[in-house]
Amino acid sequence: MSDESEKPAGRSGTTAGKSQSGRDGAQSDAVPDDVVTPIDGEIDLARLAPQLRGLYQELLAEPIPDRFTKLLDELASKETDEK
Amino acid sequence: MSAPSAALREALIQAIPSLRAFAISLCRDRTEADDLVQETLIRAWNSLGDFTEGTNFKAWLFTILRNNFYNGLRKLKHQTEYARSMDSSHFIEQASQDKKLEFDDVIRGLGVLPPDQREALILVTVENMSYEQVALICNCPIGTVKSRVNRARARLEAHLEGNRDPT
Repeated sequence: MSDESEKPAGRSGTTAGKSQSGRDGAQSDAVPDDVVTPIDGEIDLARLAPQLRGLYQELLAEPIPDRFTKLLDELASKETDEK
Repeated sequence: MSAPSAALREALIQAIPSLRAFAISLCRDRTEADDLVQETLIRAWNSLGDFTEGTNFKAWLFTILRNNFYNGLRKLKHQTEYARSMDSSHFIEQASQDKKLEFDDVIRGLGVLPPDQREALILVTVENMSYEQVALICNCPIGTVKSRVNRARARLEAHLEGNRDPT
């Protein structure tokens, strides 16, 4: 793994106008998956995005499982011990 | 607990819901997804020195999670994993039946997508990331991300159309 791949720089924020209407350049499924087809204009996610977001909302709202808080407590106390 | 540890702990806690959602999108299995999140937290904790100050912390975590996922796939030779049928009862236990069916339908639809299309679609829609950010996380050109999202969209919409009651 290159060092580079571990370091996504990038600003947060800029969400390209994803829900704009306009041509969506839908491609046939016959195109192999590894071929990059240039997308002319914005991709119209107006229908799909709210559906996906809505469906994940419940998952995102779940309480954090104990195993993770315990794990982080362990990592933090291990670090303190080493000092 | 030292102050930096406490801050890191808090930042990781905040990111856990998103990490879990992303992990479930990749693994489509809750247990596997939570194992993946656990590995990600440990790796992030131990390699915080690799994080570039001022860049997006969540994106950095997603990159680690994604790398762990694909490395695991390679190790376990699970490349054809995405084609398997799945038991979606793991996903929402308490949701109403209608909502559960709808969720199952979409998750099953996501299952027909190759992982690279699935992850791009989820990051752009659910995480509201820019194509540029997704390109950094997935280590590929922006054009490739857009192409994957567009294919995922077309396939998933076709899948949902096909499942709709014609009446």
